[in-house]
Amino acid sequence: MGIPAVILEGVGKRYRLGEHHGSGTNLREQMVRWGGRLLGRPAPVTHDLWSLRDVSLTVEEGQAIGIIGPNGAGKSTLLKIVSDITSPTEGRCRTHGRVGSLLEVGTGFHGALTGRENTFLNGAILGMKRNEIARRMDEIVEFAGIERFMDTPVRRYSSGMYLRLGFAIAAHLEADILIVDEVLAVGDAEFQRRCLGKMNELEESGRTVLFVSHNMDALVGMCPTAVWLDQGRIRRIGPAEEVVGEYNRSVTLHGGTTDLADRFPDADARVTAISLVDEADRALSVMSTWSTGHIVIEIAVNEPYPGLDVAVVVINSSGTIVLDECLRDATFELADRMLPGAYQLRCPVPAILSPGDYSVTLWLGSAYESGERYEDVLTFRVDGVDARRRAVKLGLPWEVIPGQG
Amino acid sequence: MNANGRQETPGVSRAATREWVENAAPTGRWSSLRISDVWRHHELIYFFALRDLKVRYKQAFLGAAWAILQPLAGAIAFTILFNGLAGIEIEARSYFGFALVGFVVWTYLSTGISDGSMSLLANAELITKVPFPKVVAPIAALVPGLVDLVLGVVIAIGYSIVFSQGATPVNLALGLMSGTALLIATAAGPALALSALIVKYRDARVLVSFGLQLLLFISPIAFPPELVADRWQTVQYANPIAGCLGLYRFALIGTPLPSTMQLMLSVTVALIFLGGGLAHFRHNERQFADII
Repeated sequence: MGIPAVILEGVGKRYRLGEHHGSGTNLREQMVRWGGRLLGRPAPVTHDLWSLRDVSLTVEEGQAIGIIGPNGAGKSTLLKIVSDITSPTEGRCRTHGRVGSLLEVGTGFHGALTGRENTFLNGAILGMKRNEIARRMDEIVEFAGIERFMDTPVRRYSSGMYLRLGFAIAAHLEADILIVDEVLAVGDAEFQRRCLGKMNELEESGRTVLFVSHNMDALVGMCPTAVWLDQGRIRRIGPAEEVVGEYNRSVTLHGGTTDLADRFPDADARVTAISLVDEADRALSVMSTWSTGHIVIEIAVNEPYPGLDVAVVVINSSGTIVLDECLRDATFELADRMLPGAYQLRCPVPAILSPGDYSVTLWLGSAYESGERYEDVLTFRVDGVDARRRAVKLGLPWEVIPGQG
Repeated sequence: MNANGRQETPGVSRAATREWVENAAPTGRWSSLRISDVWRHHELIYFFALRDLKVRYKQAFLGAAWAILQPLAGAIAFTILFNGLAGIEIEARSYFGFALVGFVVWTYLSTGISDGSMSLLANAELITKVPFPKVVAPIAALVPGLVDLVLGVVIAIGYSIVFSQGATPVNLALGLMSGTALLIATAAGPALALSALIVKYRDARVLVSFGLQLLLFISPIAFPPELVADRWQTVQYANPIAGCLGLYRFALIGTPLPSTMQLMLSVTVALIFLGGGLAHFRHNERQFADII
């Protein structure tokens, strides 16, 4: 057992919906409420939402812990409580050492001020002393790589420069406990690599790290231990690879199959269902960059359908058609022999898709009939890290030939 | 951020100086005012104030000239209205100098209170994303106005000397120091209380502008305090602005100092408001991030 750096004991956080929710309440409404209470009227109904419940966790000094879970599981709330931005509703959280919190990069920058002025301001907001910022200014500027623009107002910065400076300041805060939330989800590839590198460096130098990310590869790479939050409670805690693996499997159990039985019921041939399955034939909605899967299409042929053809179109989140495959390209004869009945068509999805969200559109028709389109009938996500902006990752075999050129 | 905020000595392990910081559920009890906490973060106050000053002057056409034009224009308007039309006179002093000092003091107070009460809302993003001592925001909002105050005072001193209104070095030193201290305290109380109130109830903003209008009329800015009926003479110093004006006018145009009783009343009320405002702020600050 090492020395603890963060101790959470029975931490819970309740948000009241229907009261003080969003942008402030009206003074008049509050008066009416007080008046009502005087007259013995019951308080208006509010809904409690426990964003975090009964969370107990000890993070040791120098330990790096990854926090995973679906949206709304309470990951950000947990980080906000450890950072002391918000108070728990029950329980307590204790931290030992200076906490550096990177919930968002560049918060508090003022557009009219120059990069240098903002560095002092932002550093002070994050808790640095003026001489500490001055001492580390050169390092910060060098890390951000924007020397020439330090005396330019940040409103003229590109979003990339803005993020680089923001991260550079935060990364140079001499914190004992570093709290990082999805900073890597933004910025370009180069920036992401630097961020990860810097975080690894900080971790190796003995900082305690709490890291929230949807990027499982980055998380496993940085954190030996992971905590899986589900509906505000700790579902599992253990070695990161195991926890992430189990979490991924649980996510894939939901959905992944779309029932299309009620579409075009009178057509001579129609699609009745579509799903994405992994190698073990389990339906899934998230696959990783290295795994292969199959798109499984159930069709019903009611009348003979000469020249029957089915196409699978996979579109990425920027609207690019990444795959457009049709049955007849693959098996001309088999398609011709499809007599009335039910069939299952399986189209492989190789491990070439870049991380991101995809949607699948189907088409069923023939050379003679325009047929029917089934728009966006399936969506899935490819999880993983690939900072390069490419539609597909192929890993093509390069050759190195000595002595040429 | 480490709440103990100690300087770290190079070569000494940080672990040795670390303390445990606890974040627990609010108990609902009134918490300590933690006044030393405000001083500990004076650098952050400085950077916040510097930001607001730089932003104000970076793209300004007239720059600091505004700080001089504003009280001058106000004093001219007051002289025409109250001296020329309503016939209000100041014993042995020019009305213009009297109104000028009144305006310089009032400008500081009104901008301090209104900027201070909006300061948390203006930094809403920071409050939800970064752990920082929130009390710094309304306090820092009181600083930029000091620049205008100083410029205004310089103008008033110049006027007083040129038209021999009775500014003496001793009067200036005593009156300005005590007057400014009282002035800042007077602005800080409402700024702290209202900034916290506005986080919760947005329409409290109306309260600020309405309250300031009311204060402008009931404070002896355009009229001398002697104008008020005798039995209200001392009572009107329950408004600490009256005390500030008394001290500033004593310093700048040599009017007689208010009685000790009157000054004590102003100081006491200002301190009660300051304490109450800070207590209200401390009582609510732990939920700012949740409701802003």
